[in-house]
Amino acid sequence: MFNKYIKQNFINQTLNFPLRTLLISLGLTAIIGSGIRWFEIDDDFVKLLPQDIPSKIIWDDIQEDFGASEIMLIAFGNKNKDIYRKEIFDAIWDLTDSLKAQKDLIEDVISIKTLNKLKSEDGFMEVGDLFVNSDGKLTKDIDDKDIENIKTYLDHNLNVKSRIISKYDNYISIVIRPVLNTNMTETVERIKPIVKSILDEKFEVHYAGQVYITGEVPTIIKKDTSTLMVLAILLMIIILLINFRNISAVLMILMTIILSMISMAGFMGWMHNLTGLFIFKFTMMNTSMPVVLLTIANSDGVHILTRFFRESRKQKNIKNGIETTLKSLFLPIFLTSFTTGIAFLAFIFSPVEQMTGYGISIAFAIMWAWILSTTLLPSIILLKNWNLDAGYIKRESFLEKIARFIGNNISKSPKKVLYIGISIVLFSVYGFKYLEIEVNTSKFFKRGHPIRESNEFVDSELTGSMNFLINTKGNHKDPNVLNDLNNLQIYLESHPRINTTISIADIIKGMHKTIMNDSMKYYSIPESREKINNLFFMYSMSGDDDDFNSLVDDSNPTVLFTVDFNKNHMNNINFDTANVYDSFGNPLDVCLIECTNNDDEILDSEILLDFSNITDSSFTVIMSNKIAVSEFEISFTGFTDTESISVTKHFGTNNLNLRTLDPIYPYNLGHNKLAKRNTINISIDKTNSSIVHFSLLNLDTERKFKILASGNHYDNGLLTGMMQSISTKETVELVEDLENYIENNIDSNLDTQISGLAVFFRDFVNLLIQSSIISILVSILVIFIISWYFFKAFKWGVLAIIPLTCAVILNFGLMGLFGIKLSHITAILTAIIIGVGVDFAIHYISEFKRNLKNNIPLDTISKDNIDDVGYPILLDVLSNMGFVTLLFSALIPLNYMGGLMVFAMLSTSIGTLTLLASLIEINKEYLRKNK
Amino acid sequence: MKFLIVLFISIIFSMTGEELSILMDNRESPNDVSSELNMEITNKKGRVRKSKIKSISKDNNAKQILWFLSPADDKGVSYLKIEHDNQDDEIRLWLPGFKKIRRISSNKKADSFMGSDLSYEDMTSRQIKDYTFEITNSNIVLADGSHTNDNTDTPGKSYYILESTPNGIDSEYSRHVTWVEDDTYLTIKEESYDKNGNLLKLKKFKYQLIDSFNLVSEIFVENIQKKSTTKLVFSNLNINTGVKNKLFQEKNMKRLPRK
Repeated sequence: MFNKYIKQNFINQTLNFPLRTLLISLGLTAIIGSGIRWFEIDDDFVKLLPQDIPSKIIWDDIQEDFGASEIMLIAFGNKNKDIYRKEIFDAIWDLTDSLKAQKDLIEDVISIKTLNKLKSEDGFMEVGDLFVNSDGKLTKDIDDKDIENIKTYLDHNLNVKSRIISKYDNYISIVIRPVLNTNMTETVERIKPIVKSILDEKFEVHYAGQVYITGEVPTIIKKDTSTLMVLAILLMIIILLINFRNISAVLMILMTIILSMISMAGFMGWMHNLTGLFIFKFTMMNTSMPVVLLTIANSDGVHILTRFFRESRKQKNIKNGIETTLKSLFLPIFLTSFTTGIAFLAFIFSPVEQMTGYGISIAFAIMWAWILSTTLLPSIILLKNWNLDAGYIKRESFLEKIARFIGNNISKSPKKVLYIGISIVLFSVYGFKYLEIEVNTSKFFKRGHPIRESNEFVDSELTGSMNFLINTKGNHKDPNVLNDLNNLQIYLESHPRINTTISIADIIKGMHKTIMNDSMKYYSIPESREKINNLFFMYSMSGDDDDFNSLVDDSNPTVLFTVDFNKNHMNNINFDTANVYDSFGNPLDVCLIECTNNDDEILDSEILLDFSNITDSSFTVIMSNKIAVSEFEISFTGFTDTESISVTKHFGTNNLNLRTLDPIYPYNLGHNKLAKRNTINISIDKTNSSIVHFSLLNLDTERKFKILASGNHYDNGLLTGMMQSISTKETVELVEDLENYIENNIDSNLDTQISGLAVFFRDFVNLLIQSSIISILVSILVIFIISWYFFKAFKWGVLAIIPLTCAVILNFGLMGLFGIKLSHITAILTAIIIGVGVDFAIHYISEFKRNLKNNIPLDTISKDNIDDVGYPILLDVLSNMGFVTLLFSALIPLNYMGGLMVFAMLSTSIGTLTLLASLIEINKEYLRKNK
Repeated sequence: MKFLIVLFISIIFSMTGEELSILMDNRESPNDVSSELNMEITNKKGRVRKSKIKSISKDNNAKQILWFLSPADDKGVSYLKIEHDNQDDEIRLWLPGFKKIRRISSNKKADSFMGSDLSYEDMTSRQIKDYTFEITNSNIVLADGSHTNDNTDTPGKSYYILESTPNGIDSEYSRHVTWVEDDTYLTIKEESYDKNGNLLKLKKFKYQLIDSFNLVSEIFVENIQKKSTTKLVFSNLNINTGVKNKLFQEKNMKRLPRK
């Protein structure tokens, strides 16, 4: 069917109407390419991250509660001078103000100008500014004595000092917390000129932090890619020119490549315009697309032109030459394009949504390159006047001679070639055990690169360029919880790569010391909750509660218990107040009910019960155990005139001293009262047990109720660790150590969740690598099935996947042996290898089947096959060697991209011309019998 | 007598800002006031913190003692303030957890009072000598009620708009613009601007008439820049109950008053 309807029509159309074919293909390309006007580049890296993996959700929650967790750090100073100089303080003042003015980008600036100091004044803790003159005023106009006072304060508060000043007092830092979800590239691009204009040439400046690296990487990638890609293309042109010895042939290939590129960009533009989806924007993830398409389009063109020259030489006729070329290559080029397209479409399984757009767009462009190679290219060839006596047609090129040499060797000793090939592949399997994952972006830069050096500087001299977060849940006013938190920090700070940590425990210790006349003896967690409450209260008298926003949060109520509420069913809720006491301290401030459906979707966002649909059922809240003065509030809303609710309160056998409780018992609320809103306030003072009945009548649907506690408990806390840049392996070990420590040492009701960009990256990349491996396996399977179908035999399916399977094994094995770390970039590139690598095997098999069909003698069949297919394969490989220029990039991922493209070409071509060729040669008798 | 003179002058001539401020300052007030105060602070995230406070004050708030009744975390904490004309005000805090009384510096006028949107400066009476006053507009009829909390002002009521500028004193503000009722001289609304001239706070006031005294029953403060609000509601107002000066002593901070 394929041969009859598609192949023959295409070939006839091209051969008989070359001009028309040329114009149609150009016209269609122009229509597709016109989508370029909607083609958009977006360099925001954060948008590419998957939103639904657990550590990202936790990380997002943390950022939602505490603000952006990732920072940019600007350190400056002079190596041989200390920072306690007027010009440094002036610069800090100006820079802080200028950065703070960027309100759309920057949430918070932490510098010596914005820091508070805790001062003990007759035992009162006074919260004030650190950057002050002798009158205690925050002003730029400070003198040497004021600077000396600041130095004295910092020397007495080393935990504060270590966060902003370097070990030897010669550098000072400013930390920037960007607005959540801002474009980091834009942030960095706007901040750097501000810093430059203020710090001038007077100071040595270092930038660090994840925001800086993430913001800077896309710019460097764009810059390096554009210059090195031009070099790669130039090299490709030179190599093609040397081999073809004809400028027209090279220009024809280039035309195919350029038109394919235009159609790819146009397709992305159209798709973006039609769907509005972000995945069709060109992002950092799409950087490799032009490289891949260039390779594939080049491959198609090279196969067509080399075969055309060979056939024209043999047949001494241009039209016959192109006809034979098309007949022999139409199916293999279709198959290579189709299988490669399928391999890229497998990206839709990627956890990175952007890769779906990548896969769809490149698959389209590959198929368009196939159409152009089989319509436009042969049409131009036909329209051009070729001189059959010219040397470039008559004489064999250098690569053709090499191909012949390989063919001779395969025919002579196929087993030897096969065994050597298998041995190399098996040897590389050994390298698997040395494979390591590395996703630390600072390690993306080569040694000596300014970004890497700046990070190393900040790692050794200041707080460190990386951070990690531990979300702590529990009552952060409970001394036991705080002591556990404090011990956790002590444990963390004993880690050689962690420079410092900060949590609310530090603030409480600092407040405790200050209120006790600055005695270091009291730099500890107070022993009672009441004292801790008093410290917070005292802070609020002169400071601002918002100062703690990055450390504790109590805006989200905590679920105490949940009850499923069924139709006509009495539910009893065991409300163990002892647990509540442990978790939240005694007494509770507020207890709220949240109503959800069975999918945990909150039905009432305001946490007030909406009973508008509830009919006929009841539940009981049993509060057992002791509870001191407490109050909780339950609000009922949404009742109509026909509905009613009965609320009954029982308070155990020991009667309560009900100070503020409405004495009505049982407490019946008529529907008229509830039509708008009614609140029952129950205040309980000392009891052994208490029961509250809530009878809900006429319930017609299943509901789930949550009793929530909220109030000023600081239930949600954040511990931030500043650390040196560590490898992914070290990150994994650190997280495991931490989990062990927490499991064995935390006794109080402190729950912890480790998160942050480093942890998220670890999970994300693991997922990405897993999905890349799945996509590699799926691709191999799909390619096997397609080859089986089109070559009409199982054995050809198996043979088609041998070279690329070996190439993948070699790739991972050699990466392990040579210490190249596995990252999301290398994993994705390996998937690309398959797309590129399968082409050679398909060409080889297709030609072999043609040779079998044409009854070429078995003695020379492999030699002839390599003669016909080997040359274009070798030329294809050699012309793509230009990507070796990417090895000169400062960015290691670009080195990988260049290196892996080169490696993919070499391993799959050699695999095809040795392993596959020798296997076929050994089994040629069998293959002929069963053709 | 001073009041009558000013009144006479204001009738003969159009009133100046200073004259208006004197009239406001001379408004009659009870000797002492005791009340329960509910404070609701809402931060920019929408988190609400509620406190219940028992307050007793004397001499037009020059002496004040506050006991915190709730939330439970703050229960037992108390605050004592005694203002002096010629020396720094005395402010003290009783911390039951530490069993200590701590003095608070009165220099920190701009600091927030207990994390609310009111600063110590907002809570202290303005000294006429420390400000320059100017009436920028008068007989303004605000019928739409936009300047009060719940649109309850009387349509057609007239107001003076008084601008007060700190004069040689340390203040967190550059100026205040106050809406003053033209018959009662009560402050209904006030805008306070920071030192850069940007609007910092918007305050609104409500009053309750008790025994011919207009007493503040509600204060609503919005910090425009921080995007937070504070609402103070005064209830159980009792006046002239014979509160003695000796109540305003440290020893009385340590125990909650009987009802």
